[in-house]
Amino acid sequence: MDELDPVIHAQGRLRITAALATLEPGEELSFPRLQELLDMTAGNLSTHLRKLEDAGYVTVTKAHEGRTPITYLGLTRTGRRAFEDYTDALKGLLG
Amino acid sequence: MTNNNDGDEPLDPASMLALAQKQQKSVSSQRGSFVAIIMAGYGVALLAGFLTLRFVAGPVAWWVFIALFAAAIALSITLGVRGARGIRSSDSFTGTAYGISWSLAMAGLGALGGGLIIQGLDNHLLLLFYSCVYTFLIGLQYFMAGVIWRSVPSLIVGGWLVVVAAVAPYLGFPNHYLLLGIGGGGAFILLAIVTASRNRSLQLSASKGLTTNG
Repeated sequence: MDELDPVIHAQGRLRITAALATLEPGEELSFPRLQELLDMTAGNLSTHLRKLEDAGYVTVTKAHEGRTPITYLGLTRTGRRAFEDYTDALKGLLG
Repeated sequence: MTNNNDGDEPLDPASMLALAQKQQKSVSSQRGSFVAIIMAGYGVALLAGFLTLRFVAGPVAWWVFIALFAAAIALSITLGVRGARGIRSSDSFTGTAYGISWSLAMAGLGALGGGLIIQGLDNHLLLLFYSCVYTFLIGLQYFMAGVIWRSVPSLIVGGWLVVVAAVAPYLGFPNHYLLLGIGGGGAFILLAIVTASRNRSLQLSASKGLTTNG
């Protein structure tokens, strides 16, 4: 399975990437909403997001709504392409 | 409840592919869970509103119709805002332009009817005109929403409403209200039921996949 992207080839990160890939280009999800949609703990989500951000797959944008700080997450073009390549590679392996 | 598929360890390729697909279904069903309620709201407003206009005499029927539509609009705004929470977009052009097209077309048709009144259009014909063209407009706007956001259910219900609105005047006043109510409102209610059951099966299928993998 050497050809499978090691960044995405983990259950948690695959779920995050798959969820973010449902957004239209230019759309972003807040951290709490993504956590709610994935039903994932905040700690786990943060850990996986850091790895995805380090790989250049996810954008992390800090913003404020009123006085409340809020973090928005979205897939980069590289991340979207990596997710498509990853699922294509899986389909290729499955014949 | 937290999920079991949060770890670093991968599964076999078939399970990973299934996990990705189930996750996308789960997100789509969660994000679209309110759409069926909005459609049901408009369906009830159209069905009950037009049937009231058909069978109840006097201005009270119009007040009932307006109240039902106001309630449906309020419901759709409330649920739409709730559904969009935590989501932001750098490209708001399409959504904004589509929103403006509703206001522009509604106001334009109102003015067009006003012009017909000035030109001496008969009251029954005016009521026939307004009810049919506004239903036509709703259908066309739903159809365009289906084109823009690639939604087949919106294309179907929008196209159907256009047909209903185009045929209704041939029944004459006030029987056209029957077709607009049953054909138009009924289509929305049917679509709400189909959307809700499709969403439910997506949720079931996604939750099954997300709890059994890993």
